[in-house]
Amino acid sequence: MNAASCNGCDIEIVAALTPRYDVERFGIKLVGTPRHADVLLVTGPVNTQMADRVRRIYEQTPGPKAVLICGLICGNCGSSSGVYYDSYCIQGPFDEFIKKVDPDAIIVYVPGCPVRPEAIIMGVVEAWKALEKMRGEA
Amino acid sequence: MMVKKKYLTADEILESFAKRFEGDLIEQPYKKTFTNGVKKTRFEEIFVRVKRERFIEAAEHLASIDWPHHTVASGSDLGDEIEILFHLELYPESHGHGVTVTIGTRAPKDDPHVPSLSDVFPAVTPTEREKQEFLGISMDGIKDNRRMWLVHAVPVGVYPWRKDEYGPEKLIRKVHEDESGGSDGTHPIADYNPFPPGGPPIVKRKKEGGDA
Amino acid sequence: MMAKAPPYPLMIGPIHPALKEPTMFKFTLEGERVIDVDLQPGFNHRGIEYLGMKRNPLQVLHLAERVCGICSGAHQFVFARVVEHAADIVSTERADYLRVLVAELERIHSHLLWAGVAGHELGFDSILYYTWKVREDVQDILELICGNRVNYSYYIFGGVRRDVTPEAVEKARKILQGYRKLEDTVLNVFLTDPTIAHRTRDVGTLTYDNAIKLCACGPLTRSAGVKKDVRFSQPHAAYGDMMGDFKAVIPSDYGYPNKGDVFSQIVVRLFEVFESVRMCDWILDNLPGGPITSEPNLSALLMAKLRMAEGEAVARVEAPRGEDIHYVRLKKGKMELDSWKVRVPTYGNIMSWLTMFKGAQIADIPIIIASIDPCIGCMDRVTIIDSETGRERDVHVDEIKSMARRAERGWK
Repeated sequence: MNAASCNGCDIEIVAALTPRYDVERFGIKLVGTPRHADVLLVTGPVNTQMADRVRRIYEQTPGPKAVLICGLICGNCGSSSGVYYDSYCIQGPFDEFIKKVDPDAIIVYVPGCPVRPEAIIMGVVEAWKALEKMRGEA
Repeated sequence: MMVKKKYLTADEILESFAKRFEGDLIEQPYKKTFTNGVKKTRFEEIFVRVKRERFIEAAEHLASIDWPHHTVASGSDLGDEIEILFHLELYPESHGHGVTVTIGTRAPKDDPHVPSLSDVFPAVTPTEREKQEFLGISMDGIKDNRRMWLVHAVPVGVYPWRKDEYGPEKLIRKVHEDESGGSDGTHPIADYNPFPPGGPPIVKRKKEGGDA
Repeated sequence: MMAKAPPYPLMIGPIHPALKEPTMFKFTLEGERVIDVDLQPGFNHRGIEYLGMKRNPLQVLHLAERVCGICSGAHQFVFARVVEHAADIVSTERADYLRVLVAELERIHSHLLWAGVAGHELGFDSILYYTWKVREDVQDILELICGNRVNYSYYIFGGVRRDVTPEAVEKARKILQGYRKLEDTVLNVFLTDPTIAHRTRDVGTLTYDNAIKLCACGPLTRSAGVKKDVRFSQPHAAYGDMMGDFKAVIPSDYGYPNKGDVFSQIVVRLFEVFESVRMCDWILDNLPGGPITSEPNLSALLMAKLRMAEGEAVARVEAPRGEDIHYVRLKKGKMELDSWKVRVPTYGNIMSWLTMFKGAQIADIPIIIASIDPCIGCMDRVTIIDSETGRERDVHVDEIKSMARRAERGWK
């Protein structure tokens, strides 16, 4: 989902789905609703308007789940607000929000401005590993 | 075969404004000329600032030259005054004769209102609504007076582009200073949206959408 | 037999990753027909203009390209130009050409992206995969020239940051050649396919009068037959030199009616892709020599020129989706911008956009939203208020798309 990102990451996510990168061959699939999802991919710094919606979408995603944050090189807008630091309507890094909702959330950071499709694929793989590990412990 | 249109030059447009609004100009209209490329093609920009009493007349004067392409209104806080500029283009369909025209006016901060141009240019409504929210100025005669862009972002009474006490400084969350994550009450809109008790505020949101 | 239901509202949004300002639409429907529409934008507001007033122009250059990730090059282009205008910096000839090269490559990538998204919104996913596959080639050229796929950081006050190497030119030519070969296939796929024609002809029509009156911009206005194109009305950078060889694309020049419907927009965008390919070839053929920037020393640029500059300026660039305009005021002795206003193309099209929905069917809403190219994945969630019970229920974009597919097959 997009939490006030500039769209750069979003088009790279779609690029990752399309033939050049084709994530579906790894079993990664884009679904139309958070209720079908295992991994939630978030782009952008969280602004005031979207903060509550981010929380609701996270809660709609059934567990076990992981969150992928795509961000910026210059500070990662998802993980530290990036270039939007100091703005009046940025509520701050996304991970803090999620940790308040669910302290045990699995968060994978994918840096880059915008993230490259390869990085997204790698992020999903990392999330996968984390989920497997959690399942092994449970 | 179409009749060949006569394109006024930037100088002629400037002159017509200077002549008609003499005495009611905030500053002398001026133009800027730029050249680019190997062939040094010229293009020009005009800035006209008139007093707000005759602002609509200035817009009508521009529309009488030719129907302009309205792009956007910008605004700035000049200290004691607020300035609103409308950026338009004359001859947008021509091949190389386009002239960017900026017409502007100012209002003192203790009486912040300027006339709306929505009777002259129907396309200005979104950008005029934006100016009302961002600068705390009112546009007299605006077609739609609701808030538009900042309904969910900042509370009423905060105007992000103001450089005075109405500015948004108090809303900024200093990430490096704020260990608590912003919801300890120090952030004025910390209680406004992030984690409201009692679930999603769908009903509340609809009410907010309608306020002025 | 039930009595006819009264008009009921339908909300679409707000999660809408399109612009600087994602949007919530409030439709009023009678049956399946849209009778009114209102827009509630502002969900993606990040306060960029305010941030720009707290930073110096070199920092804002990077902020400007993050206004939008798809036309990031156009925003940086126009911001570099507006500060040049305000501070009286002149860009070099070679830089003017390279700027246009990147801007046109960006147009190719953006229009192909749009074509794919439009296909997806029509329920025609093969087109999405096909155009995005084609689009990756132009991303390769951009990466070769600028070093990044999306946010290029290519423009600087007075010129550009990187020169093109002869190898890059060679490779770019080869890829552009590939696009020319694809021209017939792509046009054939979009313009002769009965499914696309069925779903897009006379859907979301913008009349010529409305386009003029409501000051629409970009491919939207050209699809209605209005030849508005900043590249040619105010020929900046290298566009002045290529004015004799190129002109604004409108459908009637290619044998299609200027209807202003979604189909006409497809026509305009596709022909613009290949026009841009020819423009890139033209640039590579006519690239002048010389330095790529008039002020290579950044600290001198910042301290001596930008800090001491006093003045204001407006600059306009034809971004892929329409005209992009920035206004900047600089104050002497002040490092930060005194005032900054950004207008993204979609902003200028809001008023026209709303008129396009009137009379449309629910199933056509996705394609009309997508048609002005506000970007990808427009809708994530839709709230339909059931008129009988007054209860809200969430409907996902998939459900609307399945409605779209039913409409395509003539089901009701």
